[in-house]
Amino acid sequence: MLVIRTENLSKKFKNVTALDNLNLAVEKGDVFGLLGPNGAGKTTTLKILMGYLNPTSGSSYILGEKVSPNNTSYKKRIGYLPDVPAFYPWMKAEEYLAYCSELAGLNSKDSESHIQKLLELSELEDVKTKIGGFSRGMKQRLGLAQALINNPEIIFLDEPTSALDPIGRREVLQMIKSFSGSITVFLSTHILTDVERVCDRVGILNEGQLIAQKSIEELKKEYFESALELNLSGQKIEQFVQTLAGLEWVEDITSQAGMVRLVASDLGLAQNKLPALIAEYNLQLESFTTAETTLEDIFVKLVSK
Amino acid sequence: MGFKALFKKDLKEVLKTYRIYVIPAVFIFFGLVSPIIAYYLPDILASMAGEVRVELPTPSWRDAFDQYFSNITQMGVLAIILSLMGVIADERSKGIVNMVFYRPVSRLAYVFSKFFSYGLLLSVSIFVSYLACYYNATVLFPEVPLAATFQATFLFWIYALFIAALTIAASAIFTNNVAAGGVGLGGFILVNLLPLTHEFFDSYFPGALQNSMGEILRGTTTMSDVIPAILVTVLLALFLLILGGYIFSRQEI
Repeated sequence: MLVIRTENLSKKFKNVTALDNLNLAVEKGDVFGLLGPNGAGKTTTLKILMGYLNPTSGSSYILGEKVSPNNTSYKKRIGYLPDVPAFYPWMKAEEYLAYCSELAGLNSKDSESHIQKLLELSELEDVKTKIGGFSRGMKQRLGLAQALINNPEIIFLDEPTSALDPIGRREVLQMIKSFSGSITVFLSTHILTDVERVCDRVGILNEGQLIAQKSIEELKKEYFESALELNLSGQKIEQFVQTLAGLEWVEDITSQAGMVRLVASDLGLAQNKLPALIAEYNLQLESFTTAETTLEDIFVKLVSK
Repeated sequence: MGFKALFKKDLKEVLKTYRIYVIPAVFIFFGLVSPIIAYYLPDILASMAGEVRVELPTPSWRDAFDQYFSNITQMGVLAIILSLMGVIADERSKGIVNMVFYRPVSRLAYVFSKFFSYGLLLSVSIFVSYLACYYNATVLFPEVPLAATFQATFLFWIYALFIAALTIAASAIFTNNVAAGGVGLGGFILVNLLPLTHEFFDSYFPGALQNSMGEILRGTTTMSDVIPAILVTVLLALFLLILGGYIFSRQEI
């Protein structure tokens, strides 16, 4: 069952096309990562889905309801964390969550225990200072807690880990991972390792266009490359790389500080031929590894096309 | 939609931010000092004149309240505009509203909640300020009438709420609080200039209320004469709030 869908969604800001015919489809229970470099249109997509921006053309649907600023029927069932969460500085964390709970139309008595759980989850239960004195990480955790106040069916997270330290990031990612299957997560990020750790499916956005929308496994299968990494020392590394670049079975080759990475059309052939070539150029082989295709390799390949 | 939660939060905000000090302080200050200034003004002027002999009529309670209304229709109104110009514009520019409007909350309710919470602060401030002015006037002057002074203050209260509605509506439309303040100030100047241009505006527009305060004190007009201007002011304030909420709800944030 599709819970988020966009149809030919486009957005122009004066002469700049931020989104160009975006067709997204997210299944219930997925952890979906919208991946793209800065300025690709991720935040614009989320703001349109939240009803904060009007699309120039096309439409979007959440839980089967058409998104518009005045359609509130699905809004009780979603949560959202913007890229830079902003709060009332004079409030305390518990007070803010109680306010969000009331805005969501929840009964204040019923939500008390839920607020305590969320404060524990975001490790803010003992914090008595006002939000104005919070660090960026604390604000991010409180932002995530407010997005969960109404036990949403879908949460939209815009760059949820960008402001966090490594420990905070790991905790947030673990939290997101734990939602898998129960809450649909739509998260935008440019941090590829985050996506690899938690997402089931990804959409890769570049210059407003969706250039891929698949599961990570499907992407890896489709863009699988036989890559080899050689750590070499010697005088003639540059000549060695130039020779390899001219060979038919070498699809791509890069070299930096003795580390040569090559993508071969036939891995077996490469493994047979390379030792003789290394010897011919009088190079010393320090290490030799077959590299696995990472999401980063796929992302860079797709985005730089 | 969401008005109750928003209003409860806005009331807390009124109590916990600087606005709880600014608006009451300005109004109560002028309530306290206006009768004193009116009472001692002839002595002050005489001492400044030196050798020149200055003959001034003995001040009365009317001078105290003239002084009071003159102060609060200028400095009081300025305090309202400066304090309220950022109530929505600031929350928009800081991104606070992004955490609110993805929930089932209407932007019109947001605008009205701001108006009612700050309107309440303003009402209490004006009432306490009036009590302060009335008390000091009764100490310094004989026979201060309760009805006329209260009626004139009532007219100022309606006028002040109109200015608050105008500034809050501007704050909902503009993301920059200086622009919102500019519109509030421009609107304030306009409603005061319009009565000078045509008799219709002099009888029915918010600026008419300001003129009527003095006339009520002098007994040259009655409250029933001012009812059309009161109704127009209230309806105009309501219209401005709805317009502000409507434009805000159609804007991208």
